Amino acid sequence: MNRLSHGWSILALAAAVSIAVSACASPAASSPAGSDASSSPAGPVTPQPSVAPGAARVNLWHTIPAGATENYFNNTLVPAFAAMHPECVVVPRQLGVEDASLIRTGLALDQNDPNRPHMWWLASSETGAYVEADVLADVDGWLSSKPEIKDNIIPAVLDVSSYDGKVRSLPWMTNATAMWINADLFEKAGVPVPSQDPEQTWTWEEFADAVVKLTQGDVKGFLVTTSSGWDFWTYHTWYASAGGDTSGLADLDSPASIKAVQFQKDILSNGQAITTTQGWDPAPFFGQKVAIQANGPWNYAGLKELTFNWTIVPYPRDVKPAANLGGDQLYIGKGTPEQEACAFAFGEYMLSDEFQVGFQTVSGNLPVTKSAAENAEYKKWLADNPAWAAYVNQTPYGVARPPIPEFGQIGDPMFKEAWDDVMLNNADVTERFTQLQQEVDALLAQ
Amino acid sequence: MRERLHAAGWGYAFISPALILVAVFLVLPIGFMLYISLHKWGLLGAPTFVGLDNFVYLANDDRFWRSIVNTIFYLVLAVPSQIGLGLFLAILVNKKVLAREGFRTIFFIPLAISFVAAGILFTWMFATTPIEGFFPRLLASVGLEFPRWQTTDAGWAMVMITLMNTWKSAGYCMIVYLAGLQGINKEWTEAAAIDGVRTQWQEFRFLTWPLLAPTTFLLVVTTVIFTVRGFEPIFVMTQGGPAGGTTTLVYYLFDKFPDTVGIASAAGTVLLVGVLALTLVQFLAQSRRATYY
Repeated sequence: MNRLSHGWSILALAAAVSIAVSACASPAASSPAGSDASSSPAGPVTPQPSVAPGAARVNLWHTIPAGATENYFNNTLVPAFAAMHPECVVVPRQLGVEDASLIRTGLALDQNDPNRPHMWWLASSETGAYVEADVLADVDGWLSSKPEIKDNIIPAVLDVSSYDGKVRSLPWMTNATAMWINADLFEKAGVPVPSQDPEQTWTWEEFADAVVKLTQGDVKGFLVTTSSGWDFWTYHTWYASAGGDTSGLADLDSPASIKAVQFQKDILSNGQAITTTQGWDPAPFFGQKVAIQANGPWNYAGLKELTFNWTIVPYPRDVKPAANLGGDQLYIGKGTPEQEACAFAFGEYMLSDEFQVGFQTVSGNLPVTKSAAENAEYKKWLADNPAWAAYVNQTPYGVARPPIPEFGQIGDPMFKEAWDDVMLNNADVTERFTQLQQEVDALLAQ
Repeated sequence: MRERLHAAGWGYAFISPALILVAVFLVLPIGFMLYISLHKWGLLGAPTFVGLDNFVYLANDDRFWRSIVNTIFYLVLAVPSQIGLGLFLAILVNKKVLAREGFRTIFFIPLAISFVAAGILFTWMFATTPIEGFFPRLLASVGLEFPRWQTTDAGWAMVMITLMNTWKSAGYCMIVYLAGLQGINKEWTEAAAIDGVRTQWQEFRFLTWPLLAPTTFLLVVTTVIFTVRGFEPIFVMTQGGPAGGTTTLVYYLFDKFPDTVGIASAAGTVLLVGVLALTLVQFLAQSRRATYY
């Protein structure tokens, strides 16, 4: 009896161990490829297509905006690609939130793990980290073998896709912020609506004059963002426009940088602007608390619902016009030759007019190729949405955040805290940004 | 001997699931954190051993020291306020008043709301920019200005986070204190009255409060741990701002992830040691106190 009881205790121990071990085992071990996406380490998932024998499965991790854009992508573009390339099965996986660490976690999976991402959608600021870790396929080599595709990409967007002299990813869509203006308030204040041509649009002086006139009662002229990474992004436009060197990381203590920061600080100090911690939130503009707000084209649906007159114009120009180019890239990771071939085939389709025009007109973002920007269907869409001309016209003047591996540390918290000190705590711009440059130099020297 | 071994076998069998879970989800991650704290790593590729470099970096980083000061400030504000309010509510709902059960439920409900939802709710109600919330507008209507906690006043930002945290967590303290209060023998109250305790304050001061000492100790230990590791209120309400004024050690750690996981792990190690040291101090302090029953 004792021996029997001892046996039971060992059995119970073994059962507990096996339950714990199976709970901790790789999702891949418990589910056949493509059959059970719920075991993924990432967030919400899209229904998974079956993978035919002989076809290569390529996982695409993305954060395409949920709703109309994602539906269009899943129901129109992915099937169209599948019809063209039966040898490839693209498996989209919605991550829910654009988070670089999620992608990095996926890339840490074993090369043969069926859940590992082979392609992913992310902003260009991660490029340096990927290059350092050597996880990317040879995009530069592929693109060099397809000059007709490379030459068709808008040069400024190609710059965003490049790092250390090579193209590292393919541009999916691009965007920038531009100035939303409340046309009714402009008219009431007697301020002329600026041109949508970046070369002819308002100057910094005209902008400063406009915010003075537009500040009336509870309404402020402009909205300044604080306490977020967004401020570093919008800062780039002002910095570049003031003549700052944009070939690498901004010279934070240069005259152009000091001028750019001081300009916004003066507007805020003079009571012609209010602050927000969420620059991307259109509520202050929609609620008519500000007459001008820098925001992006992804708010297409919300803008269409407004009951007052509005339009969009470029950033004001100082030494030259500029825009803070953003958007998301298609990164292609190293994989088997079949997987890489399918990923590049998808990249080629993504850069086609069919894809670019369809995706950008649904999402409100901007095409990354010259031919799509000139496409008749896209031109018609632009004619129906004339405010978008400001975004399109700005694109050639776009400058991007440098995709160096340390970018994450520099933008937030280093820049964010310096910016807050200046905008909120009245710190001296020159002193604080000189200190910031020293902090950045120390970080880069490590 | 054989029977003792047999009994021990059963004992180990029964605790093994818990042991395995603790090992896998607590001991292993802590061990991994200690390991990574000695490496340079960004999640991609293999970690590179750097010795104590990450700790040296922390020692020389002003932002790290400021995060420690902010954490202590948050602790000083948040722990007494939630325990104090919890005790006050527990005393109230321990009395025989109309709809007592209803009040208990109402005071406990915030505990069931997520920190994210509560943070968004408080931010809306108390927003000072860009669109003013209900309370700033209310004050403005009588000619007063609400503190600019989202922009210029980091001290007030921490107060607002504490306010939300207290509203959210006081229900937990209330429930624990309520259990403590209901465990006090009525006969002791009667004996205290015979010994000269006349007012309710005297009863609280000389009888209830000392008898609640073990409960208070439990609450101090748990709320210190909950508060030090608190992340969601800060993430939702201030993102560590304005100007880093609400960047606590946990938020500092978050800022370092995923680019510098080694530094984040070193900060996590400091946090772990700090919490252990605080708990040890509390245990030592408690052991010197008289036990009343």
